[in-house]
Amino acid sequence: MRTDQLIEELAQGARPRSPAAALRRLSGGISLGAMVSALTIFLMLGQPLQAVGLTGIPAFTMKLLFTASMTVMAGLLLFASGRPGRKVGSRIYWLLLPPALVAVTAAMELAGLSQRAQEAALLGSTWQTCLVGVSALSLPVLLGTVWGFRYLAPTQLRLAGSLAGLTSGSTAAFLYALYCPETTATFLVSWYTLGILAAGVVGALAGPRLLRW
Amino acid sequence: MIAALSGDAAAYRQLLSSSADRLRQYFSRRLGSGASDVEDLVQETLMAIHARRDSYDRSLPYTAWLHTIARYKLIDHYRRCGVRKSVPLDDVPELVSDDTLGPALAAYDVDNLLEGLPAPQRAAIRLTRLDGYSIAEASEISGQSEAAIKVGVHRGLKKLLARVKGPEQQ
Repeated sequence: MRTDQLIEELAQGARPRSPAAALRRLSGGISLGAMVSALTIFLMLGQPLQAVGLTGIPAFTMKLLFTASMTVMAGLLLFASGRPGRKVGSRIYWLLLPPALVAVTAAMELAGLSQRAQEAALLGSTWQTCLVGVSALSLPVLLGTVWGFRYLAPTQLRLAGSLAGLTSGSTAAFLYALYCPETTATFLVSWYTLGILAAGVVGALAGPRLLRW
Repeated sequence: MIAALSGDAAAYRQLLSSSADRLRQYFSRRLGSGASDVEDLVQETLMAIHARRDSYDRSLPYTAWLHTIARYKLIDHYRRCGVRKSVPLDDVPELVSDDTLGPALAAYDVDNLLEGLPAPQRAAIRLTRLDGYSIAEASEISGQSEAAIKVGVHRGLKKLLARVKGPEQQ
């Protein structure tokens, strides 16, 4: 086909586009994946928020704030990575801020505890469930995210993949936090972060294949 | 591009064909002009532009968007063809950044900006600032008085500056 014919055909496809269309589609994809994950964990563990009585409001709020801030930051960086001309660059270090804050809290928490008590604070009683739960719940979100990304144009696929993974991992961690019975910042900064990172690694590995265009 | 995204087919056609020219220049510079894949790559990139046009951030210059996509498509092409298999990805931006596309794109942006000015101001700026004529020569060529040229340049540049800054401040 000749190029000017192609241009003619494409020009016929000119339609009014909303500036917010790309962002809407991405957040739609993430939400769709999150709904699948929420449904999965609901079917497995039942009613959310049952554990809040055990943990108390402050610990619960800390988990929600941590995971929500990670989700929003990773999501915004992900969005930027899909817009040619926008750069993620050093803004990626934003993502270190929430874990750093929780780590400081954890350090204060651990100071003055006996070694046995420190171990208990780190491992809690559900660290395996947490790790498996967060990584597994991130997969539907990751698929939704990739689906929602298809009108964006990532030019650094590894980076975009990692950010997609971190976004999904954080979203999954948020959902998991609605059930999590643990109370310590030490637990939060260790196992939640690890689960989110695992999702980030999956995203980084799959990115070049899934996001290519 | 913004007109094209609001559904104006004529603006979109014009945008695509000027983009095609620029892409052709960009790709043939790197693949050797007349190479058979240049035109394929141009067409593929045009289709990508169309399919992913929502990814354009309206607060950025169109050319920055186009340039990034062209570079991505070029790298993708290298990878697919196995040419320069050993070139690490990170080197490619440097390889292609000292190119002729930059000035061409800048000229394109300048043209676009100038079009928004009234004709006398546009002529005054073009003659004195771009073509390098003195005020007296510009006055002779354009038929405006020297004072009019000076005022035109001053007001025109002020307007351009406001236009360039405008979207960033929002």
